Amino acid sequence: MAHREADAPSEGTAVSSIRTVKLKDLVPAATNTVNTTFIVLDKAAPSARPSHRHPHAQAARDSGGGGGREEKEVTCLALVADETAAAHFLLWGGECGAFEPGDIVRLTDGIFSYHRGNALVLRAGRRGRAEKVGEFTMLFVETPNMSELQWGPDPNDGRRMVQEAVVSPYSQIFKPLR
Amino acid sequence: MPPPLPPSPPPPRLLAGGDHHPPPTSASSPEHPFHSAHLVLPSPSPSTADLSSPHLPFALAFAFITQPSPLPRRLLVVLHAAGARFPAFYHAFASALLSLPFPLLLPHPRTRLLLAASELARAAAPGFAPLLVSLLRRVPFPGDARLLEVLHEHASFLADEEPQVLATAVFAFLRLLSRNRLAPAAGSVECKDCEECNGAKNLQECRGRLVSFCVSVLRDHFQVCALLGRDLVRSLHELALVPEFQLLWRDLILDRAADVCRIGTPRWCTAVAITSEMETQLLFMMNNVKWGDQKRYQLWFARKHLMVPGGEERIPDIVRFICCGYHPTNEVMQSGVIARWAVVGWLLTSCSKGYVVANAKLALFYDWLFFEKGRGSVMNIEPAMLLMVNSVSQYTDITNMLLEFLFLLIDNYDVQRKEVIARCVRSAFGVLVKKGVVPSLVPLTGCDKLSLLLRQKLLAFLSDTCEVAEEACGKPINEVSKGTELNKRIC
Repeated sequence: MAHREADAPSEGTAVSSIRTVKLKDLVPAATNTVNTTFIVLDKAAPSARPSHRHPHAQAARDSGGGGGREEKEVTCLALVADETAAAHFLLWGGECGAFEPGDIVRLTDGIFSYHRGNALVLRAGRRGRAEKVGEFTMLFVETPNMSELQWGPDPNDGRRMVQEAVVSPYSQIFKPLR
Repeated sequence: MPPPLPPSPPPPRLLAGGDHHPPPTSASSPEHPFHSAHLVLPSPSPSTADLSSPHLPFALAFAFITQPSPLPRRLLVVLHAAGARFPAFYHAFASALLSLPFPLLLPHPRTRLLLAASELARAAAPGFAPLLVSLLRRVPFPGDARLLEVLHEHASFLADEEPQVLATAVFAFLRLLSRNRLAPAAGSVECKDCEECNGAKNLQECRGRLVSFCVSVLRDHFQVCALLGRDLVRSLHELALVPEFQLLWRDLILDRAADVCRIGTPRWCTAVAITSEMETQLLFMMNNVKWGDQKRYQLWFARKHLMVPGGEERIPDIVRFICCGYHPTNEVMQSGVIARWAVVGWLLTSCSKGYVVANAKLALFYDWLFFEKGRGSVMNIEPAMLLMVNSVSQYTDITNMLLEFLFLLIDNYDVQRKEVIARCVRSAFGVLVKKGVVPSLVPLTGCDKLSLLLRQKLLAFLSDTCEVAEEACGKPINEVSKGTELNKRIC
């Protein structure tokens, strides 16, 4: 499937930090180049696991959950969307308590990639930043959900991914409210 | 060797919000214009060039709300020097203060914002009215008793020069009294070292003064309060059991209520009783959110505004805002967005307390009780009608409940003026059909799912004057049964 120029991983060039994309144009890539704005639709309960000197340990410490005991890596999955598509967003550490459903969030230098095996999620990552820039006043769609698509290597360019199939039109974790 | 100069501390923050809000250095932060301007604050004797700088309003506002206690006098000097020289300066100063999102303001800046409002009011400076009104929409909040002081001090001046501000204050306080029964204001003053902040009182601590302010303004400036129209009477009804208001009713209101109720509620009045966030979000729902997509927005709105202390008690005021404060254009109505009646229906089902449901239904029908052909706006009475008609097939209990309540109101709202009220309600039904809001009343009169007693009552009520009944039903009464047959399919 064809996709746009904006999706092309641009290897950390200066341009990537100002170009914004809509969620429907997200393509899995191992680069922190996603700049976008979305609204948080729903949030699951946070989960914690030992951090094991993970690059995100800093974020977990910031959340203040540990208090000197064994450091935990707290994460929390959220459903986010804009007027073109939805996706799963993984909140880390302090982000878990900072964003609530209905918040409009601007993500800079985020990453859309497979996390712990096969969950395709958008997240700020170590280099990215998520900021609350508003509330409520944004339209959204819940389908397609970019995290519920199956992606494969582009036959014309092995470094890129293309959509292969729709696993589910809507999030299988956060059911749409009707 | 002299010790190295310590690095200059970062400028003080105005807003709460941790790592996940834009930093003040980011252009998208509401603090940004203040932070980029705060260094331009001129010397104690500013030059003309200093005073005309476009950054000065922000710089001065920043200094005003962040300087530690006591407020340096030179800030007042600069404020009034700039204001005297450039009349637009006061407006710019007030707008700068208004640009800050109030719910995020830190305690000290919040205390100072009230001080700035009070200073502008004292000087009768342009721009003080919107600032006061915007703060009145925020009550209750920590330190809000200062507002009462300002208004009390300037009541006579306001009555002459800014009557709408005084009426707004009375309405905001009456709603606060009846809505919250003065539950404690959320949050606390955390600016520990500062006398100014520690001394800031909350309205909940001075209920007596609040009541006596309302009573004295109602007694001394009744004409000003009458600007609020019939919502003044609605508010006073809710407080009728409070002894001070009981006296007021007997001395003053009883004779005048009927006249005031003929005055429609102005739009600005309905916005006073809801916060600006509520207004923005309700308007977004009714202007942008398509049918079927509203569930999440409703959930967010309820979580933020209704499921908080004193939140549910706002529902009647929200219903008034929807009926009288927002009249969509035809274009919006046909654009597939969620309709006003559906929002009202959702709000009614969100009430868990009996007295809130009753007040919300009264709010919905209030303009029906005083509807005068050619004088009342059909848009004010439209949501109740559409909610009844559109609920009849799937949510019949809502239609039943509303119709039953309407008859209760006709008989009991004002027993001495029962006939007049009945005439107004009949006229409301008639106009709604005549204007095509509903093609006829057959969906109500002919729906088997509705209680038989209510249908009979409605038919009898409408046929009291044949003309209205024909107008209302869209056909002569003896044809209604035919309509009933047709309508069975709909129900």
